[in-house]
Amino acid sequence: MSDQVGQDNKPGTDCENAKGAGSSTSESIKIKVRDEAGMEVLFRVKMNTQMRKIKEKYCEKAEKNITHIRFLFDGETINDDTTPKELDMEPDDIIEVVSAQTGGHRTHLY
Amino acid sequence: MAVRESTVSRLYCVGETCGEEIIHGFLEICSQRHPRAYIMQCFCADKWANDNFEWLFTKKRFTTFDWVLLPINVDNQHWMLMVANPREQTIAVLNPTGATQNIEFYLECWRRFMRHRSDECTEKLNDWKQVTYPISLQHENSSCDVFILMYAEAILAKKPQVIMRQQHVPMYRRYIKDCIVHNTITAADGRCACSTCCQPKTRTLQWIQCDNCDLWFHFECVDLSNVNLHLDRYYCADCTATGRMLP
Repeated sequence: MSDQVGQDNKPGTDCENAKGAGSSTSESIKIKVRDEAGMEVLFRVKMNTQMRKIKEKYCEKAEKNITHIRFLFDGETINDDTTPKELDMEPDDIIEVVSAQTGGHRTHLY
Repeated sequence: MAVRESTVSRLYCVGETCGEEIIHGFLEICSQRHPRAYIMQCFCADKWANDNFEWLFTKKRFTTFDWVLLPINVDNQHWMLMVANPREQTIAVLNPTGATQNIEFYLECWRRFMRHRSDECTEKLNDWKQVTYPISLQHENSSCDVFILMYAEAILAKKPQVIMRQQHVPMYRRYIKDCIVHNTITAADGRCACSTCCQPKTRTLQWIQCDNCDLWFHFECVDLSNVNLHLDRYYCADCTATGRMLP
């Protein structure tokens, strides 16, 4: 399964990430989104597409509730407003999808 | 990390469980207020439990941090806190119930994780010593979330973890909520992490983030003369000094 995510981003404001400024962001890469069961969804995205869009598209495709999942890249959560460029993503990089965790309502002894 | 309003409002409800969004939202605020802590995502512990050591954080220099903290979720029911001091190579798991049966398992996970990490990066930290910290324990079933956050803040603020007890939980719960709500409001203004912030008044503020500790600085507050921005990496003075990690 693969999908095209369109690009619809405002350029970052001045107070935003200074590292990303000034270079070309028009190239696109292919990234995989993989869930805990190993199911993968492939996306071709522009380097400056906001992760929010990829997340929304993924939830639509994989029929998941966006509030119940988290996107992780290299063990760190992905903020909705970052982009593959800011995350230094490379072709075929994998985003892992995990379920939200909760606690504080014990029925067992831990 | 942005925390949704609906998530925050649940904090007020007695008996509601506390998700990792709140846990990490608050830990992130704590680490901004008391710098030099690295917060690992709770999902790491699950990975380790499944023998998965893919995430090795090789771009981070653990020894530039005073603390590495990892909230551990057990079966979507309980929270514990792992506390590592990378410079002294000490490790502890704080369990608000005081039970010890799971602790050895997670300590072993940590040691295995660090061995894998040493194989992949230049930072070799393989000799971890278990320590214990005096903590106050939870006396009812639904406050482990608040307890681990109390421990975390106390550790980062260099206060004894036993100051806060069960009776403080409702108050602390409100405090967590206020911190998260307030932080979301003021996040746009931001706070410069340097100790001698010059509070620039220029119309367009320019910020730069350290690639190791993730703290933000005003352009005006840091010396950028030695930094090659085209390298796409910036390390703040503290990280450079403690980690010998010049790009």
